[in-house]
Amino acid sequence: MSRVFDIARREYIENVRTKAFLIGLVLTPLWMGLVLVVPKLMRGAKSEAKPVVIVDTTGVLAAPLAERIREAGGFEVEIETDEDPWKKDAADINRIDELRVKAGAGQLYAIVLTNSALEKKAKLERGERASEVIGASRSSDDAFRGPSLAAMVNDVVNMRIAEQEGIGSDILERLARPAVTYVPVDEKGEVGAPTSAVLPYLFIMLLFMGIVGISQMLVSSTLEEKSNRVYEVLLSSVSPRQLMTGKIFGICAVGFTLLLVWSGGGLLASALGGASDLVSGRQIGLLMAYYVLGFLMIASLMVAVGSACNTLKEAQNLMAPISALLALPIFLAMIVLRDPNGQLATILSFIPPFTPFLMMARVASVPEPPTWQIPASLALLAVSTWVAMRVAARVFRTGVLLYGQPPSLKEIWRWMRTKD
Amino acid sequence: MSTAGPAARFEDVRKRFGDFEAVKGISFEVAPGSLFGLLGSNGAGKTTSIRMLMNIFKPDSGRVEVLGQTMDEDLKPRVGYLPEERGLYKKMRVREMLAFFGRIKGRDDAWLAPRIDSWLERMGIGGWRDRRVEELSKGMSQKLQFVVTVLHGPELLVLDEPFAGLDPVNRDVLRDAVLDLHREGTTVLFSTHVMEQAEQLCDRLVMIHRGRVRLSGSLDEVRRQQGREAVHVAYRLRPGATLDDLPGVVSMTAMGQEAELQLAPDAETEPLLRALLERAEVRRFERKEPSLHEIFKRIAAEADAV
Repeated sequence: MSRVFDIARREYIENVRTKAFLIGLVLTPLWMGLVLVVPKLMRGAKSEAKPVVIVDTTGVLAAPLAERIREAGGFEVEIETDEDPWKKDAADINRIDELRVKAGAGQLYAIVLTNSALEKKAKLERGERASEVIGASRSSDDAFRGPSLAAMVNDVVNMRIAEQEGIGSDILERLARPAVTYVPVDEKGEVGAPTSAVLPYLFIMLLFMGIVGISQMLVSSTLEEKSNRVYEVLLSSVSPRQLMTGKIFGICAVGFTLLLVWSGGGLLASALGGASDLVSGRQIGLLMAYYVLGFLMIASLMVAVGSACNTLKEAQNLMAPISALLALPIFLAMIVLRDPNGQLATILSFIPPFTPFLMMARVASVPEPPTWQIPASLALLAVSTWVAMRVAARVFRTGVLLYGQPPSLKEIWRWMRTKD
Repeated sequence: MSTAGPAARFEDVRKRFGDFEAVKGISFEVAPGSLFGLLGSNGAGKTTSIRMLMNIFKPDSGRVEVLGQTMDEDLKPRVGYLPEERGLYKKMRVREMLAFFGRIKGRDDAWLAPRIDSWLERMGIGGWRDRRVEELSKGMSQKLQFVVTVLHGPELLVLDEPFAGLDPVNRDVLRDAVLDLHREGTTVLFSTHVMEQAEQLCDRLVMIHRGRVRLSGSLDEVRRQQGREAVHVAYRLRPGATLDDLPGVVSMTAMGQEAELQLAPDAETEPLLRALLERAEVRRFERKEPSLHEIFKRIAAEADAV
């Protein structure tokens, strides 16, 4: 046991001392912080006013709409009254086409107000032209401003309908007000703080970096030792299984350090930011449990791959299907989070390689998974991790001393079935 | 400290790789306290045998014992192994790496620290203890590899081609270290394809060729077993003359100006000398025991002829 510890300690120290590790430790949360903060800063910054051209064929809506837009701010309004802006000129171009091109280039927004149908929000008659808000689809700014203009047109039309039907503006205001609000509660029936929709994804990303990212270190460390021919020396002191176990635990501790520092930093930051109840200690505990078991399983695969290959290129070829499999949970999470305790979500989160990611996503959503599922999934994960480590040890034992041609999958399969 | 039985024992051991049978039923014992040579040309099966001894390969059949039992994890600290393929952690610092290898052999830091320093001094690389291994020259790395092998104080040293690739000065440093350890009671098993090294060092030997033991015993026994005498001559041939068909000579190694002539068991040297004088100007004529090199050559040739 102490030899396993010695191997693990060397692996941990050698990897934690690298610049790559220190950079990852500091830069990753910094980068994530930037991704979260920068858009907020950008939104907060007063953006330049953009021209809006209102082409009005009704003669009645343009003025109140212009007033509404000016009130909202952020736009410079210009009104064009034209009875038929679709009429082509000598060069075969009409005003609407002209505006579409400019809008598409991001120079302006155009609002085209057609007649009767708009005013009454009636269905379009055959041949009638629709009213439109035209804008570019280039930036997140467009995605925000375009719909806001459409909403303003809607407001103005509603107001006009109300006026014509003799409905008072107080009634209109009441109609616009929401009747009820959605109240999310936790399993004790208490009104909880609304769960952050980001949290499940944050957990998945942390686990992905910790498990998939860090376990790659094992591939390179195994390959390096193999090319340095150090295995024969090591195997004269320890058994292949001790060696593999030590290496995996050492690198696991590297990832554990990262996750601990990151989530600790995250807790501190959210506490300072006044959102201390965003993550519970229990969630962090489960994160670590799922991380350790998930890591040991995936790392066994990685170390087996590394031992069977001689160059990074060979290893990458063998790893491509594994990496594809491991990226799946990120996409599956979207399905799972739509109905976190549905049948599909439950089944998917009990497939061992997905378990850490999907269970953590479910733990972070509301409502939480049924209590029995957490220990059950941890137990299943532990059993499959144990099996994975045993099988990997068989591949490792043969692979580390094999040089030259990389083995075929058939050959590796044979190694897996060979008993000690 | 030492065990009553043999330090290492092979009993009808076989090992096959695919269609190739590398070791075809070898048996021999290494007595405790001996300096034992495992001889053979490249591809004879030496490294495969040693790897089976170290439990890196499992034999297909037969039995391999180390210090009286099958190699296992508890035994590994009592053995020091220098593999043919040298391997060190290039990125680690010399002293840290030695401490690591010593720890996985079951020694603690307090035990190791003074021994690391003294071994590095002895190998002449004391000034490099805090440098990275990759900064060392090839010769220094080889000596460092030797320190890795002996640092934990093993009872049995297994050295696979320990002198390969070393310059004469470093070879002597290593040879002296091996001899010192042997004097202190360590059993040494080493393999080599250079017969002169075996002749200088070992007290007992086994010669393998094509996966089989062809010769074994002490150096004297082997020479006696192969009891043919040899004559070393230095000569200059007269024009048109050759050394072919000399009386009483069964084989020879001719090197232009010198030759080693193997005599038939009851051959007399006088007719030979007379015949030589007719054909050449003879500068030296010396009766000698055959060298291991000659013995090995003849045995290999006999085996290949079958």
